[in-house]
Amino acid sequence: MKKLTWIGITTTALCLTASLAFALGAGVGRDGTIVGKKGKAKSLQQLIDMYDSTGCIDCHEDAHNDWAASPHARSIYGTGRAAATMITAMKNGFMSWEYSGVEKTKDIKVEHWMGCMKCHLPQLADAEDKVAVELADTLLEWYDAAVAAVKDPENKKAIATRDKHEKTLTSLNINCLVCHNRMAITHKWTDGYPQHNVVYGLNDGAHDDEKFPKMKRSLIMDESIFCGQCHGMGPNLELENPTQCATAYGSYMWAYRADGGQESCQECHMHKSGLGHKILSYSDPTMIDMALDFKVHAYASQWLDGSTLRPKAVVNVEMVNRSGHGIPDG
Amino acid sequence: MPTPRLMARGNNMGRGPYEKSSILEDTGLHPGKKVEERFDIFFPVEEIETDDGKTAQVAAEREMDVTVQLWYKPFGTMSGAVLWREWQETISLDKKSKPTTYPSGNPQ
Repeated sequence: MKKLTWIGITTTALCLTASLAFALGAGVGRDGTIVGKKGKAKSLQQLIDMYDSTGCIDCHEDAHNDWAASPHARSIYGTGRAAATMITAMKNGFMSWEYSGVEKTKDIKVEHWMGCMKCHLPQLADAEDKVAVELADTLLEWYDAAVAAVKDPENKKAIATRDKHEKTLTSLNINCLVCHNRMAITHKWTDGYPQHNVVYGLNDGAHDDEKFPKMKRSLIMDESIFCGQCHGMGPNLELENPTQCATAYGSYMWAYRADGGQESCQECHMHKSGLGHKILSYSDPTMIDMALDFKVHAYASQWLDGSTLRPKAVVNVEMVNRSGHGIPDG
Repeated sequence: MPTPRLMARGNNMGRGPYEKSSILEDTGLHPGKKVEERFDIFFPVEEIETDDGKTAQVAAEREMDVTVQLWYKPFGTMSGAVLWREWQETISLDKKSKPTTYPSGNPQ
């Protein structure tokens, strides 16, 4: 009887070990990542806390302020339009597709969201499926409350609900730890997995922070592939149902580097533009100046045939894209 | 601009990211490539009776104020559009022109 009990425990232990290894996937060092150490988030708040970057502000205030003014700081909310588009992607996308397995929001899994969140919130992959449901419900409740508040500006309940969810949605973003830890290494079997206690940047050394006491060089932090992880190549064919948003990195590789272009995303969008961690694009006056040569010349011409006259202004517009990717793009 | 292809099949455009997987065509500006656009903008004309009783056409206006604007439209409409460049000039039919003996065209 005793022997049988031990066999039972051993079997259970083996199963647990096997399932943990399966959940983490292949590769050495995955267990040292932030999610490897903390386990998957069980709520949106846990996911926010898992990548909480407020500890960076004291020493990196300028970078933080730049980032706070950037689209990365509101990567799923945007101006509200991005959040509304997430809802459209959900309703017109995986909730309407016959084979997605989603009929109601309770059916949504993290995998369903990754068409959007691969880039808008890559850390969602570090959450349990019930967080995907919570995200869907939060978006829907936010939208309903926002519409109700527009219809009736005195509706305090709607305003409070809208503001509460807006705070949650704007706290889910591409922040310091997402770039300087989670996404800082693309070639993980070559360079190792980003470790939970390390911030990755341009230098090696000690880092004056209790949670992140080490600083390591990320070999891609100043390379375009770092940005290309999200500002991508076109269709995301690795997904069960491919999506397509950004094609900038594809254009950068095949239309810019292929023609001898040498600069990186960071050189233009951060350094030469002086934008730092704002990393802006089409809406920024400096980036607009840098992006394009624009010349116009015009003249008058009168076409005459018998008694028919066609006087006209001929306007020639000449443009040369000086950026490293197609315009427009994203 | 890049026109995304609906589910990467056929010739219909897809709008939402969840339904796009290819490109139908791309009329955008590509790195280092010169793009030239020519616009022919016609002056209004009117018919007049000539001294010999025939009709001829003359320009109803001698000058045209031309404005060229380049807009970046992130959503394909004027919603959130950003004005990138603007050029203005008055184009005159009389600039560099000389009187003609023809019964139409520039005034004598």
